Amino acid sequence: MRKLIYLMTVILGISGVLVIGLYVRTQRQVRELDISPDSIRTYGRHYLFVSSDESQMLQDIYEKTASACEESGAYLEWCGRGAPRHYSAAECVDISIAMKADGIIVYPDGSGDLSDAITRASEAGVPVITILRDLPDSGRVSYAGVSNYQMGDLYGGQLLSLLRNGKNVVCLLTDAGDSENETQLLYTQMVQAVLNGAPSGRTMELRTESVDSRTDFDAEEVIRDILLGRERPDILICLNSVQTECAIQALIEYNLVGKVQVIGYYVTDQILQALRQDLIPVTMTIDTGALGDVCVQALDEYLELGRVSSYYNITLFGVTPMTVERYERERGTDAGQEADG
Amino acid sequence: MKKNRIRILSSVQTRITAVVAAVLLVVLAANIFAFRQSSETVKQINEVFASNAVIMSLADTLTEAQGSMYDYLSTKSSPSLENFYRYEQELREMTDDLNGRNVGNELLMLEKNIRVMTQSYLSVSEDAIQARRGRNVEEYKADFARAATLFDYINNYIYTLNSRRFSRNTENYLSLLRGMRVVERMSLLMIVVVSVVALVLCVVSVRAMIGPLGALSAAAESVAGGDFSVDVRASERQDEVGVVTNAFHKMLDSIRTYIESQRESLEKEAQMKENELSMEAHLKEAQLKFLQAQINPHFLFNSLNAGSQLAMMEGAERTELFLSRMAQFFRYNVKKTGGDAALSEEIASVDNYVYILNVRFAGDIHYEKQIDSSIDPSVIRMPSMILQPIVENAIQHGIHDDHENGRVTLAVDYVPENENESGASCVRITVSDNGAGMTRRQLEAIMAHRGADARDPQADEQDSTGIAMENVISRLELYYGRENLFSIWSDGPGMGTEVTVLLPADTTVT
Repeated sequence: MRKLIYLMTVILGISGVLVIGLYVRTQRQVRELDISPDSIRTYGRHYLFVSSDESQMLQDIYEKTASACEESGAYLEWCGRGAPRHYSAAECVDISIAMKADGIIVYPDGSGDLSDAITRASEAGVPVITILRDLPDSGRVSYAGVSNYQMGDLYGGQLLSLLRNGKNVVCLLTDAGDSENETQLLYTQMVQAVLNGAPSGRTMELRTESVDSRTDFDAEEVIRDILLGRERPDILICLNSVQTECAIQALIEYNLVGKVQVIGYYVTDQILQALRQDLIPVTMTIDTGALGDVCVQALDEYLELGRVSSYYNITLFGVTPMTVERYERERGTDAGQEADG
Repeated sequence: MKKNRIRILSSVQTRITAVVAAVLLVVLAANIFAFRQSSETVKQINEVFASNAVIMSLADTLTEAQGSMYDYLSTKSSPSLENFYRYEQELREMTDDLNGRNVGNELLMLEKNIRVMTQSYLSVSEDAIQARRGRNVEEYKADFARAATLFDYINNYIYTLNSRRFSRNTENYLSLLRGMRVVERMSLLMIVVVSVVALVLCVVSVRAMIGPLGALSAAAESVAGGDFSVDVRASERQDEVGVVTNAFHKMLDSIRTYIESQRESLEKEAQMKENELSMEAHLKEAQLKFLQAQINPHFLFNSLNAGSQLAMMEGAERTELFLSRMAQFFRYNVKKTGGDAALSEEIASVDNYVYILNVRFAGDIHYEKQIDSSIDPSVIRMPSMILQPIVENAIQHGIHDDHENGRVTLAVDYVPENENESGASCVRITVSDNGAGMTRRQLEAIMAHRGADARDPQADEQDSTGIAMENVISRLELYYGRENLFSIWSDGPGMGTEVTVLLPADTTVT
């Protein structure tokens, strides 16, 4: 009798534990479903990141900037990303104004009405910082990016190391979003650097080709035409990561490795692979983390002090097959530190 | 009062009610829990898509507000304006429920953006309406264009939020649906387990409560059939079953005790009757044997007395003594046939017997008496006709063939408590001879069968004395009511025989 009662008690106990387990499980499930604002971190400021370019470089810049914002107590939102329709940078700035954002970080897409939108933002009291492409005539409070002079010098230096004896055809791929002034400045500075340093017997014929990165799939078509055209360049200079990846793919597909030297831009996985395999001699890149830090710092400073430096220089540097391992190590260390942080 | 309360609390009715109530309570609790879990999950499922409905309602109201504003700007009609303000109010109320803080959650930030943009839209719309009232055409057109742009942006954000919420809600819905299935199965399992356990406990508890009644009814049936040996143990329970069991236990004990006392009483009565009958039978047997042996003792000892007087008148003294001892011997036999006698009388009878035999056998029989001086034989009572048959046996069978050397000794002494095996003091009478002796078989035969003449199986029972050892032993036991008062011992053929009779002291002195 007593044994039976013990047995029944044990069975009831196990059932009770199961029931409690079920109850806890269900409650946890319900809690997981419930999105309570109280349980999520709140931020003091709301910044918007505006870029119609969603290439790897811009994604990296956004992530680094978002990390910097997180540390600074601000929430960074990529305006228009994942929206049912594509918004221009100007529209995104207008949306940001309507949202009464605390600050905007814009990667200009080259549209003409962006300057006006930035001006409206400025009038509405929303500070705007442009990155990598400057719009000095707009109402932006600061610019963070690479100096075109420095960029021209660096590209010129790379050209000098790649020039062969005789005539070298160099093709500079510009982006439709780049302003003419900046492109002109880059062009001039590059030519000047080559002229100053080119050894005798090596000449350069520099031409530019515009690639509209705002239109999907255009880059690959344009680069293919250039490389398979009558006047195939000896050196191809790319100014964004999409162009560079397209060029690398074309080199492989059309067996042009060694025949066309590609000076790439930015470091993606594919570009890194090309460097390791010595498919391209160099790629120019920036420290996206530093750029993100500068942007957030500039916005915070402006909101706190009402003024900020109008220009923040970001260093451009080259990664070659010789230095790719060191670059990867350093980047891995940075990533590790971020993860630890 | 307290006892009554305890009894009420521990009554079978209360206990069964408590068990059933507890079982029902447990099953009810399990059902309530299962029902609550199911209803909670159903509620959650129902609420999953509620957020989508709210967002769609916001979109509808926004569209209505935009339409009303457009109508007003087109027609400047009062109903349109009223509608606009009504929708504006609704929009403000709806957006007030949306998140307004900067939080690290994409959906909540979309809510915040919609909320702020809606406020901006309403502000621009209000500007447009005011400009329309002021007939500022350029301004209200520009404001309307801005409002339309914002309307487009907000709708897109609402669409984004709605689709993301729908996606998230669908995941939640599927998750809840899976959880619901688990809850259903677990609830079913739990109800089954709890019900089974409760049923088993209920059955076991009721059996434990009522079970003793079954044993009790079986015992009652046995008792009714006359079997009082059935074992009914007392119960420690306080309920009705315990009370009935204990009452039955007591009743059975009383019946057993009564029956036992009745049995003992009957046994004692039967024993007494048996003893009495046995005593009478033995006495009658002794008398019969005596009468058979003596033709007419009264006539004989009267004649002997007459002979004695005649011898005295003629001056024959020895004849006169002989006849006188003969007359005493037979008189004693006649007088004491029905009761007890003093030890001295028994000894005197033996003396007469030995004298008569010595006359008969010319004084060949050597007889010796050794009586403890501390003993007064006249105050010690014992059954009559005990010693003479023993002495007769010693003479007839012990020293019969060698009277010259044969010797018979009668010794009487006192045995104190500490020397007696039975632990009681007694008077010991020993009749010993140095004659033929007895074999072990003969001794065992006398003690076992109490045979009269185990020494000589061919001896005639109608001997001169006619009184056998069996008779002696039986009468001793009947008189004193105990055994082991008679013993006989011999070291073997030719080693003599010794007969011992013990007279318990507590009954000898009267």
